[in-house]
Amino acid sequence: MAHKTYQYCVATNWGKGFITHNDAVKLEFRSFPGNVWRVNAHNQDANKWVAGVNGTHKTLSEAQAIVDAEVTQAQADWDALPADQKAPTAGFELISRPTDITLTE
Amino acid sequence: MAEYREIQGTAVQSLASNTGTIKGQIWYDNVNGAFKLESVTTVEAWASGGNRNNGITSQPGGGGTATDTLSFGGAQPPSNPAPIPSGGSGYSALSESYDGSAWTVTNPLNNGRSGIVAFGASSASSIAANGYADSPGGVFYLNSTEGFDGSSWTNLNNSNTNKEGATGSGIQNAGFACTGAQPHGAGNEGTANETWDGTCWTTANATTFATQRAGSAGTLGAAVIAGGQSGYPQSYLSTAAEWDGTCWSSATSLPGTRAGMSKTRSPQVAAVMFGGYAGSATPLFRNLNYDGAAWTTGATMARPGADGAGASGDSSGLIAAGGGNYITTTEEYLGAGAPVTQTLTTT
Repeated sequence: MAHKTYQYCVATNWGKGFITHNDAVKLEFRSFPGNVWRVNAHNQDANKWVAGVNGTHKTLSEAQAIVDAEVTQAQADWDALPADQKAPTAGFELISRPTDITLTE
Repeated sequence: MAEYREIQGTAVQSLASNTGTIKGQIWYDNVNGAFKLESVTTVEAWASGGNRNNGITSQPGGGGTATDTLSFGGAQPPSNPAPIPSGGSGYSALSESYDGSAWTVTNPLNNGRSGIVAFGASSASSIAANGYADSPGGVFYLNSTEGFDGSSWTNLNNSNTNKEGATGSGIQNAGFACTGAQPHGAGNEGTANETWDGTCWTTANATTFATQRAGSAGTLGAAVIAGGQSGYPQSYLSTAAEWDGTCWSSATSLPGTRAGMSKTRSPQVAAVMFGGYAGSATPLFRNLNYDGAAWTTGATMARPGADGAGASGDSSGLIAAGGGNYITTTEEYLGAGAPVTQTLTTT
């Protein structure tokens, strides 16, 4: 079995204190749509953090399914925008179409 | 086990907050029931801040510090413009203040806009200038300026140059705004530069390169701008320039290209720029640091790219709020050596 670098959980970011400066120094955090969070695997500090934020562990495929559903909805919302808000010559302010996200362990 | 007061001869102070404490001090937090230590950070890192009340993206303007700031404009979800005052089609007049923990909705901008140049020393003293607004007649690049006094926004004197996607920094009565799309659109980037004295705009020396969506750090008297984009189809830039309050000079280029980075009052020779939506200076979720001579890659944000996040802050810390697909989350940056309150625990 391949060694996992990351683990996934679902947790709601309540704001201040969700990730502290000390957490960020020790761990590598990445957020994804659907309140999916990726942190280091095989790491006691990461496990404590997941428990501390009442995170629900997800397998890679479970996390991917949550992210896919969110991205699909966001893409549908973008597709429904008026054409002038998607014009290619317009500036950065026009929100680009959300792209697919592939999670890895 | 001996109590602290038996060892030390006195009890630690019981306080509701860390106001008035000093580095190295242990105190009792009587609000949260925990012992705290005033310390300093050893390495730079991004932590979570309070969540905004409204999702926002497209780089809302920011004025203030990491613990006392205002965020205004940007783009709000087009599907939900009401009841939030908007400049039209998802471009936002939203304004929220942040006290280091929580965001509060304030009175909105008079003119909704994104692509803003923003100045400010606190949540009660901010300037919004230039920017991009949508209207039934088309897209406009603005010269209008507004000031916030802690309560409401007031229209002020217009800038000399219409522009959006410009960059700049400063405080309520001392700032500069340069480059940007003049007029709006890819390939229309310019070098125009203006200074603001709290009342009027004055045309100043042009920048050394044309760009839009450049990052900036500093003050009216000493700043650095970097990156951005030019041309159509657009190419992304690594170019940088320093401003001494009078003239621009070339600076060391970024380690790669990047457009859409933050605009803050981070000091010129200890500059931190973060975020961005494109370029080769990846990963975009790591900030870039400038010491006046060289750029280095810094700490990691939790968000994937921080594209479109609002930015504000100074040498004491920075914040990134919103961004991406209209998110509400905030991240707070503390550099090495920054004051931090730690909670003492037993294991």
